Amino acid sequence: MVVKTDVALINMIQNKGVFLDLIDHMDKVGEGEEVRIVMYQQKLRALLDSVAPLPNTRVLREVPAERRKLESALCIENLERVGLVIQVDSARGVMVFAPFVIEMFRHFDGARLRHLNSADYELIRASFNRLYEVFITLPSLNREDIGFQEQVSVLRKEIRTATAKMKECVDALQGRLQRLGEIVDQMRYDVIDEVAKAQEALGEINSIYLRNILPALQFLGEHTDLKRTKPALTALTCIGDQLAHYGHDKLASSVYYSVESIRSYRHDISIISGSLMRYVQQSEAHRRAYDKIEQAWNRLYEGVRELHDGSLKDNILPSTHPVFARLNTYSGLKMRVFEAKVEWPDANQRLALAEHLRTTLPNIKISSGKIHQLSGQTNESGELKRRRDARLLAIGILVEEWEPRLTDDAHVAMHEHLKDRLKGYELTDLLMSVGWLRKREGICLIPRYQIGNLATDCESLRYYKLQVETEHA
Amino acid sequence: MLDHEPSLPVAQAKVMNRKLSIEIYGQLMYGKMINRTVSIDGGLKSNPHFEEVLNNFDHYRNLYDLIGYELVMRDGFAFIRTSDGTDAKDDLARNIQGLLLVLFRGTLELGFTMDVLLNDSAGLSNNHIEEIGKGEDKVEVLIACGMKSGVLMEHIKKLETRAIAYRNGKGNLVLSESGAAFFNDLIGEGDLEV
Repeated sequence: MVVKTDVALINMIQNKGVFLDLIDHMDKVGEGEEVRIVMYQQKLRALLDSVAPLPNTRVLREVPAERRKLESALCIENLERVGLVIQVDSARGVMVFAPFVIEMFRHFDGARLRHLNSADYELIRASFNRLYEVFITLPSLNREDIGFQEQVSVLRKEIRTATAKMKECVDALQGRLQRLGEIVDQMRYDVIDEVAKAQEALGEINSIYLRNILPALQFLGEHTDLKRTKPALTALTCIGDQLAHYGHDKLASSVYYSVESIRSYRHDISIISGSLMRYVQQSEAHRRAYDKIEQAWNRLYEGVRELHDGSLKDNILPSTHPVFARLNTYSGLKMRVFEAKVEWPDANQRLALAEHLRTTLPNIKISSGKIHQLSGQTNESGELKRRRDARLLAIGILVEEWEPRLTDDAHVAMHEHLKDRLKGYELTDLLMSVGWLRKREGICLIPRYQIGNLATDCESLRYYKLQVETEHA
Repeated sequence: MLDHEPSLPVAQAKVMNRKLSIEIYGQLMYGKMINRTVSIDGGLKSNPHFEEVLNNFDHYRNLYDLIGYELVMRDGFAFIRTSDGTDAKDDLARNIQGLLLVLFRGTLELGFTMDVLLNDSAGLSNNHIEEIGKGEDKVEVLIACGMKSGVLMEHIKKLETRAIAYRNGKGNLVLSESGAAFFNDLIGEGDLEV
């Protein structure tokens, strides 16, 4: 059954979802205007099932009329017959819709309008340059000259085409980017499917930026230095100048207006480019993060694999391994254990004794026991020790009595202090006294690295000199 | 305070909060990070401990310097490191950095972007973490970085204990400022140093 062009077109428009999907697919795979027959048939079948599903018993008579009508209108054979499909290549399994059909559907949705790429811009620029060459080489720029009239007509047509394409391109970019931007902005980071869609959208935005936006900005730039040719708007301005020079003021004005009209799209493209930058940077940041993590991981994993040498020991990477040389965010991080960081002073025997006495003395109870005198031989060695201790104590008391003062030689000072006060004074006592002096509070003995000599009538002592310093000094 | 140290102005010392100071000491000594924000009841709030350190940083730095630690303030977090860097301390840094790298790589392998770990509203669920931990290469790296069991889920708790990561309102794992700093250091790695 043949269905006329207008009815078929109306059916197509009423079910435009199918065709918009096809256009999306065409744009995605970049196969030009070709559509896979299998895909079209699949989509058509789905459409027919949604409009009027087939009954369970498959008898031709029972197929719903609505389904039959739609199928007759949209089947490939009918579309080819009425000229809405211009080519069906059964061998390759593809078909081509008439260009006006695709353009019509593109106009239904701004986001699906065709973007101009650098090749399209190059064509426009070349045509303006060619026209400029024509106008400067024309033998006559007289209004009555047919050749001139023909070129003016071509010029108007080219300007119209360029302006229309620019407008279409700006609308397309705005629509497409809005849709892609929504996908990215509304993405939930913790849902893998949405992240994948957003990544895809970012990839497409990146591609649009490189393939459509940058060429558009380059096309609209008037100061680009090109070999042998001029930028499009410069060429057009030169044509206007040439026309004005030969007295075609009105025509020149209309060309200048057209230049301004095309130039105004630079503002729109710049705004789109600005809003696009955020997504381009986001995409760049994702790529950079991926690269850096991948690099760091590969270095680390390579280090780990080197440990697998079959020795079954030392399979832990030391923290000094070169892999960690560049990772120092947490170096020196504190362990979760208590560390006694405060350095207490070295044990001081005198303080320890004082503390011991302070705590134990109050608890000592005076015993009421009897004192027994031991009879028998006296213990000589005990007596000797007792005498020595008594002398040592006497020296200690004398040293405590000594008034501290700054002196260069502690031995001489002690010698002078003791020789008249200690009965039976010997140089051995002097050594004891220096020992006592060293322990005395508030006094510091500092070595002077000099050797001193002291002599009595029967004894002589060579010693290293010690300087006395008091803490008040 | 040592004699040669300049004494702090009285006004500055007065604004220090004794209660917060004690809490900060407890956290730092426990090896925890003090982040700019803290998750309370499923929402991010400004961390009073961080504010306290930030407002009196010179004083705290001197304080911890005197007891043998270096108080480090970075973009959005503070922690202490031992001044005498020994191998044992760097083993700890190795463990944590290895663990984070396993997590980062696994996240990207699952098909997420790093935003999932950096964004409070997202976060990595336990199922995803278990999925990451199943990778043989991940287990190898964990063991080589000094984690005996090689089970990722067990070690993730270390990050939470040290406040390098936290659980958001949904119970998903999100990096805190100190965790994000490692990611930022990775991203900045290899850049020209000015």
